[in-house]
Amino acid sequence: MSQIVSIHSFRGGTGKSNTAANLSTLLAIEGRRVGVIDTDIQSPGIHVLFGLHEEDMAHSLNDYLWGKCSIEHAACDVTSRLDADIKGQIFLIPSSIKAGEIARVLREGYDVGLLNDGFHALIEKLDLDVLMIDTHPGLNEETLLSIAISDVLAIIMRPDQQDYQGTGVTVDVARKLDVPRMMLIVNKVPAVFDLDEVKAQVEQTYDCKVAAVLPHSDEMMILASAGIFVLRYPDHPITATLKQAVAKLVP
Amino acid sequence: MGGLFDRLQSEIETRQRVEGITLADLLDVSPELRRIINMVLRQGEMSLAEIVRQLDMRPSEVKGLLDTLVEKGYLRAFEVKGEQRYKTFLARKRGREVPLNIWESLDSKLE
Repeated sequence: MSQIVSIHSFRGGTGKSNTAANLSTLLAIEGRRVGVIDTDIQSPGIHVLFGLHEEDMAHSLNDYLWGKCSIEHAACDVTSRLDADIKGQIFLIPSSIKAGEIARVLREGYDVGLLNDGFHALIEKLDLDVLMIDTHPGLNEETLLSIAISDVLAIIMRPDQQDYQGTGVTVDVARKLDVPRMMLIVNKVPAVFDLDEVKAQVEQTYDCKVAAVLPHSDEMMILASAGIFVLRYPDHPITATLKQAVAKLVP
Repeated sequence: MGGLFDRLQSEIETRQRVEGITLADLLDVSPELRRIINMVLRQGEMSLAEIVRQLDMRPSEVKGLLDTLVEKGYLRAFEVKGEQRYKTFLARKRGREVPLNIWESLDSKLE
């Protein structure tokens, strides 16, 4: 049974794309067929983590939404690019990084129903075990759609006053939309904080389970999205925590 | 004057029916209807029998709710091999309304 996992945050800069890329990679290492779709049409970025450049993108999600290609033709198999022992496969459906094409989507809008059809078609055509949706921060049509159709929703937050209220809003919306499994991931936690205490406080505040509390990491900052953290640092404590998180999110 | 407002109201309702439901609107729909729209959205499309199986309600009640959703333009009904099926009709995401010359200026700089 395939599952749709949405990675969302109310604010930007929480580490959504990084987390989505790392969780996807861990799932593929286990042998699953994973699709990663970048629905952050106005500020795409997850392709960078998978080493995909503009010239490598034969098609993008934008092309699909404009009827130029089928959704599976916008998918790029990035498994071999990761140069690691991966039993499964990772397919990335990037959003266009061309400024003119981003402007066109903003100017013309798009058919949201077609985006939903695309999610379902991807699962079927690529025989996916998991479709991971990397969303735009905040609430808009594509993030609400990805939340509405998710089997699993991971909401990323930082221990930051700006994130607290917005996360509460997202949790409320997800409950209204009957998301079957919702978990929080607290990211970029300063080293001086007690991680267990943070977990307990967040769970109590939002009445929602925490899948992981990830401390701030200099290694992650230095990697600067130039690769997949769990592959570069397989023995790092953050990798261990992400492995536990993926087991909770997609058992 | 009442006639004018009636016509305007009718025009608004017609447009809403034709344009489908936005995800933001979905949050404001009654929980009973939202549950059905959301369920069909998740599955892509569903038959009447499949929807009835998922809900703890009589088939006639479910059919009544589905008819309401079709009438509002939130669901589309169609037949496949004699079986009635339903699909959520999502409204198109509108483009951002900014003065045209801003887009023209952007286009000329980006091309």
